[in-house]
Amino acid sequence: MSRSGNRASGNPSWASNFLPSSLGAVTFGGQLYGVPIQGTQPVYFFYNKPIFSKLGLAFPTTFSGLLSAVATLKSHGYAPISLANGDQWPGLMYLEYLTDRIGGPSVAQDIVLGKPGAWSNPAIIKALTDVQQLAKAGAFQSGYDSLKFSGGGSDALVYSGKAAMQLMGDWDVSSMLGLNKSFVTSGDLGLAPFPSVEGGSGDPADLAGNTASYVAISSKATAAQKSVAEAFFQEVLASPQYAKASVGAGEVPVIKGATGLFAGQQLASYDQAIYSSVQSAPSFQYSWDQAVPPQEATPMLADLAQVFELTMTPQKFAATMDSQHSGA
Amino acid sequence: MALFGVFIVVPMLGAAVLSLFSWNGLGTPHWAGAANWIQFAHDPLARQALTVTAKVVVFSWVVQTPISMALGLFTAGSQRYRSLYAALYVLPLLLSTAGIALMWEALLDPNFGGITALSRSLNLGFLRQNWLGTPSITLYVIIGLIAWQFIPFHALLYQMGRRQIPGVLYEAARLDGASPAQLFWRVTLPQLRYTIVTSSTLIVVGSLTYFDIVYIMTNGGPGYTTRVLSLDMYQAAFQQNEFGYASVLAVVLGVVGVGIALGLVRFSGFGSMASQQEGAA
Repeated sequence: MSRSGNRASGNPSWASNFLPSSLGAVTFGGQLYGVPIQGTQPVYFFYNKPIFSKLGLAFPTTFSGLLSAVATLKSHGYAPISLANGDQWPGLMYLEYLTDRIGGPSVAQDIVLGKPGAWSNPAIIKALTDVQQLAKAGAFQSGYDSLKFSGGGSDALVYSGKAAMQLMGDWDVSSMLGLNKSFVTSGDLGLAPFPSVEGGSGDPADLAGNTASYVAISSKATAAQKSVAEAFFQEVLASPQYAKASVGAGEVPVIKGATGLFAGQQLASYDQAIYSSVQSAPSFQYSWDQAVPPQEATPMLADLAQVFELTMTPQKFAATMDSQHSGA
Repeated sequence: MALFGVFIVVPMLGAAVLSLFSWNGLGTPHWAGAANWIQFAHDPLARQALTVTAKVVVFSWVVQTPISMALGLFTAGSQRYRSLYAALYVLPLLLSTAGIALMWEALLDPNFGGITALSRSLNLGFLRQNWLGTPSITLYVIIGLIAWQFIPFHALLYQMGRRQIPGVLYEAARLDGASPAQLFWRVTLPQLRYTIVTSSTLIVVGSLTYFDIVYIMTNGGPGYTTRVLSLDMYQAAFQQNEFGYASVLAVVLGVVGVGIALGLVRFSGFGSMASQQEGAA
């Protein structure tokens, strides 16, 4: 995706065919710079329903509710949360959601736009403190800082009943389906939004994750190339036919009016729930490791992993990340 | 000579030149002068990577050389059962590095891995560690796995080196009343000098640039405790899109590697190619 993309003068009419929350990541100064292609992948808590019903617990809707659920689960011998932080990006999802719930979407926007001091926002410090609170409460399974998602280990902890929940992108539904089909088809896999944080200013309906993939037109394209591209956007990417094909390929499209299309799909109930939440989300932030410049992404992930391991303080993390800008 | 020039000299010169530019891999390189080198000198993470790499090099040599020598000398003996052992020790050589990394990653998993299962059945609590996630021990686990992978190869080198030593040297020493310990220190070890230099050069230069197991198993983690210089270079180039800075690291690795190799050869007299067989014929 090219950031020096071509701006349509005023936003084209077909742009309103897309769900508004999916365009936030490519809208700058009110102008649209990219067009969504392929499906959306928001992040949710995926949990083991039988464990929760056995303990008579409803899935928590507040952060303090999450902490007390963690304590209850631990006392019954479960690892409350399965975390594959060996890959480092799963931990980032916690930071994204907590920051949004505490300080609203503007915090992430400042970071993505590279504003000086953006990382020292109090919402970030509070979010990281909350993360460390979870780690200190023993919420994550032992070995969480070396377990990788790619081996299926963190999924195995949930479907085998050793861990109660995992914060993961919606690809986890297909991943679990491949690893343990009956766990998903029997409806034992629950899907829940990230809890709200008491005293926070963020909307609990906000989402985080991979909003979509995007295509953009290079500013070096000729007029003929530009018109072909725009025709492609209007006639294909924004069209109901594309939505139908996307659903058939197992994706959740970001085109309006796709609600009826999921019936008959194997994961229809999950896809429908995901689509509805994207439809009604006031804001949908793009995964930070994709949204920030690459030079920043690698140290961000490595340092955040240290925060999770309790070997770095939130303040040190913020200071290191902010100094990346002044040094660059 | 032409092959050496094309595949070795030209890329090294290219890396040296690229280290003076800043390039994100897609656009045009911009002249940066000494900026990348200054960044390298001041970067605490680069110092951390150098320290980690130095530890890997030193401990790899310290662990692999005695064990390989012991195994090699053992399998060089003429008893028949020894060749059976030799066949077993060669097993890690047959496995791809990626296969080794993935296999051990699964074995060392603290929740589902084989080592954890073993700790339960044998009731050995100390085996239940977060092997790849504990900052103080993960580097040594990696060094141990690298040793596991390469000791068979070096054992083969020592086995062949031992077999080349003429028997008359041992007979003459025994006639002079040498004990087994003296036979080792006064006959075997000096005769193995060139094998030791070859094996040591391979260990040192190999562990200096070693990448595969670290990348697959820990990706430099936990924190930065296993981030060797080659991994730093890979991340700078392909994840952070800073090819100029990565070239600085490449040049450093290249210069240190060549320097060590040359130094080892000089120091041991390998270069003079003197025969070790004087008086044996």
